[in-house]
This record gives sequence, C-alpha cells and structure tokens, in this order.
Amino acid sequence: MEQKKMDFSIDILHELRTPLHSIQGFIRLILDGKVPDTETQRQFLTIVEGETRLLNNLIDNLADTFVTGSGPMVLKKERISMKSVILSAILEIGSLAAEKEITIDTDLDGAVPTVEGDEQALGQVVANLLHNAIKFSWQGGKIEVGARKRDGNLLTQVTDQGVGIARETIPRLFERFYREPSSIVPTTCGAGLGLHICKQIVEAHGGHIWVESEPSKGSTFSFSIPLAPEAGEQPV
Amino acid sequence: MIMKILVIEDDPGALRFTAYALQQEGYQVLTAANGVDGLKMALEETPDLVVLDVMLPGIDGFEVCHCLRNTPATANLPILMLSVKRRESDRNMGLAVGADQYLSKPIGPAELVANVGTLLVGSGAAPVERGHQTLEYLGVWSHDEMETD
Repeated sequence: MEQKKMDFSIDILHELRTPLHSIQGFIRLILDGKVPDTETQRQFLTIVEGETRLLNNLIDNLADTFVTGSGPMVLKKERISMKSVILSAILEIGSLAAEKEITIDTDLDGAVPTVEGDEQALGQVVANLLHNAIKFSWQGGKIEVGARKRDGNLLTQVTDQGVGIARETIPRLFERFYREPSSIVPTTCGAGLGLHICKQIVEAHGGHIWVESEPSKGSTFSFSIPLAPEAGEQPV
Repeated sequence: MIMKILVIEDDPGALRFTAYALQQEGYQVLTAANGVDGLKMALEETPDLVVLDVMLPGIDGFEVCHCLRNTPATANLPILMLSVKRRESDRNMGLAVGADQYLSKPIGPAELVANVGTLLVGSGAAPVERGHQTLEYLGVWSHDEMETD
C-alpha cells in the first residue's frame, strides 16, 4: 500500500504540472512579445483559462480525496438539472477539445429529468469524465455526452472513440490508488485520481458508475443516479 | 532550407505552445497526438528533429524513442524528450532509450528553442547561424551589433 500511495502522489504531481506547463509557456510567449496578433493572444489566453479550470478541478479532486479518506462525503443536495450540469462542464473544458480538433456532440434533446444532487460535485464528475475522454481521444475524434431517464434513474454517458482500456484493467480503474503500468498496451496514466473521486461522488448520491471499453475503439463511461421524487412527493 | 520538427504530444495546450514557439523561430512544425501516429510521421515525413513527450496514450514516449533509435531511417534523428516526469530515474530512462536531451516541464519558450537549436547544430542538420538565432532569442547575442562591429 505504501508503494501504491507513493506512486499515486507522483501521479498527482504529474497531473498538476501538465496544465502548469502550458500556462507558463503561453504567458511567457505573450510577455516576450512573441504573440503580436491579438486574435492569437485571445486563443492562447482561452487555453490558459481552460488549463486553470482544469487545475482547479484537480485540486478539488485532491481535496475530496483527503475528505473521503477520512470520512463520509458531505453533499449539498438540491433539485438540479443534469442538462445544465453537462453543458457547463462542456463549456468549462471545451477549449481543450477544440485544440485537439475533437467535436463534442450532446444527446440532451429528450426530456432530461431533474435529480436531487450536489451540482458542483456532479459537475466535477462530468468534467473528469470529459477530460479523460479528451485526453484519450485521437486528434480529430468525436465525443458524445448524453443523459436520459432509465428505470427510475438518470443515466449519463460520456463516449469517446479513443485508445480504449485493456479488459484486465477495467475492474481496478476506480480504485483509489490505482495507476496503470506503462506498457505496450493502451495506457490510461493519470486517469486514476479523477475516476476514484467520480465513484465516491456518484455512490454518495446512491448511484453507480461503470465503464465499457474496447482497446483502440474507445470507451463509454456511464453513471446513473436516482431521479428526484415527483414534484407532488417532494417534502416541503 | 526550412527545418522540419515533429512534435509528439498528447496534451492539446502543450502541443499548441510547443508548435507555436518553434514556428515563431521559423521551423516547419508537424504534430502528432500519440506515439503510433508520431512513429508513422517520423518515417514518412523525415523531420530534422523530434520533440517527444513521455506520457502518451498508446505507446509511451520511452517506447517511441526506443523504436526510432532501432529503425535505420530514424536511428540518428535528434530527439528531445520533454516531460513532467522529472525524477533522475526518468531522465536516465530517457537517455538510456536514446534521447539526445531530456528536459522537465514546465519549460519556457526560450529554453525550448535554445535546446532545439543546439541539437540541430550538433547533428549537423542546421548551420551554425541557427545557434546565433538561438542566442539572439535569449538576448545573449545581437546580429545587428555583430554586423556593425
């Protein structure tokens, strides 16, 4: 376990340094006067903004890891629209997808019922899943995000056409200190922390999270949480 | 002659930054977001240098480097590895699989451009003037001053 914790800490440092690298790089380019075109400056600052949000999300994950490591997760539950949670998450890290020419399609046309949940925490789940999907998609790939009612639950799915996950890895993917060994098989380095947090948040909502994946074809991460009681049944 | 640099990097922000910093210095930049595409491009496009990230989806940068070194067409291609993995053991691994230089992220544009310039001059792919350009970028040497002297 100690070795696992050590590896996990090193992974966190890697994840924190990745956005810092482009933040520092773009700021330095602009300060050095290497970006005279204002439209390009705007694009770079948009990426910087996306990276700082990502960093913020990572720090939230880290804070949650400490909290969930020491007791039950505290949620602020209210009636929320999953549709707006998803759209906000796309807006938040969409600039990273654009950089890789990845299109994000949404399937939110049907009536997406409300759920009772913590808006910020569920936003974090969607952002984590989206970030992984972007990270493991090929250049020019496609990601689909959808939400719909199924068997008294709200099912949310994030599908990519990226590198996929080796079958033997899937059962361990949501473990707290899991990191996939680097090897010839498709790797998911850096995904472990976020997925563990996703599992904690979804389970704290009485739901569950799972993944279906095929190496080289892509992955679908799904989570379902119980629907909010009908308006009439809502306790006052 | 315009020199061609292949950047293999999966992080979209880092890829854009590296590509832009090198394009600003007059290099032609090719990009690949994973190791397999990077290897293909290295063989098909015959770049003058590769900037290679380590943590890549699919095969990682160490393996890409190893493959490039063990393929006759790319055996002597200058390779600059760039990674958030900054332990000495990571650097040693990079050099062991054949990287000419291993740098840790975060890294600024000046340091990146300077190292690329040095590797290109060292490999004979770039004339010595390229090294002067690098010094100019760093503010160490001014071309104009040199001409008026």
